[in-house]
Amino acid sequence: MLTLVQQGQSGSISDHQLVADSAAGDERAFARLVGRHAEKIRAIALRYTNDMTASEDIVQEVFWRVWRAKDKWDADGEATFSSWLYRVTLNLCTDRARRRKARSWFSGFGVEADSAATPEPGPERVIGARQDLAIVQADIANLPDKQKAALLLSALAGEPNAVIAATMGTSIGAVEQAISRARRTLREKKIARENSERG
Amino acid sequence: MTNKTESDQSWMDRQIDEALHVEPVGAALTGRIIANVRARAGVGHFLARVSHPLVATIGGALAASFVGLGYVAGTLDPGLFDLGGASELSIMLFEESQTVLEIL
Repeated sequence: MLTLVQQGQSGSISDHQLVADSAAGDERAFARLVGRHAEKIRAIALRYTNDMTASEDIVQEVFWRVWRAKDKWDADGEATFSSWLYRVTLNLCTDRARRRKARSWFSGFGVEADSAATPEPGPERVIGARQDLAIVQADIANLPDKQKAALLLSALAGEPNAVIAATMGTSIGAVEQAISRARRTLREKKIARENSERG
Repeated sequence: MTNKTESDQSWMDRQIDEALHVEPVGAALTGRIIANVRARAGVGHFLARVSHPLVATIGGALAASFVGLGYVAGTLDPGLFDLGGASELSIMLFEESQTVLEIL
């Protein structure tokens, strides 16, 4: 159980301890765990899907899974809690994209899931900085999965590349490359758009 | 590709960072998550108490029936519930039955 002494040292309680306290029935510990990670998970889900409703559903599902797995969490294992949390989040995001793809295939539209999720506004709607940002956000959501995951974990979760590599089950070099490619792709798309606007 | 200067590149990087940024929503998010977990855990607790292999079997059979029923209904009336026909309705019911099976 979370003691008053531990509560006084709010910053020092580890995620593992909070999970253990949650498993022991301490709802405050679980709320604290949610408070610590929910914004990051929501941000990742939002930029991954570019869909506010989907990101809310995903963040709810992630913490429901945390709650269900709290008794089974292995505090002595190698995985950090946040890495596990990110993996669950990314899996839910990619599952959702697959389901959208299957849905559009079954519905006979044959539209690619990602482009269906994040339609690019036409040039006539591109007015001002906000629209410009919205286009870049659509570009981010349309990046290949690995590039997108690495970029979002780096930029939104602020995780070092070693943690991102562990989360994605890849090497640090591959993470660096994925982030760099993601940014290059985004820049190139922007340049291509500017060129086509100039005619 | 145009020959963009270094300052162009850093300007674009700044714009990418701006596009990545998500405004935090604060404590309301935590509240919604806790409420959702409480509600779902409450349902799970109830089902765990009544759960039995027989219940799971019946639940599975019901779920499969829903899928079949959804397909037949959707075939007969493609505009049913404005869901776009048989396949859409089947997928929706299949997803719902997955949730039911998961809880069971």
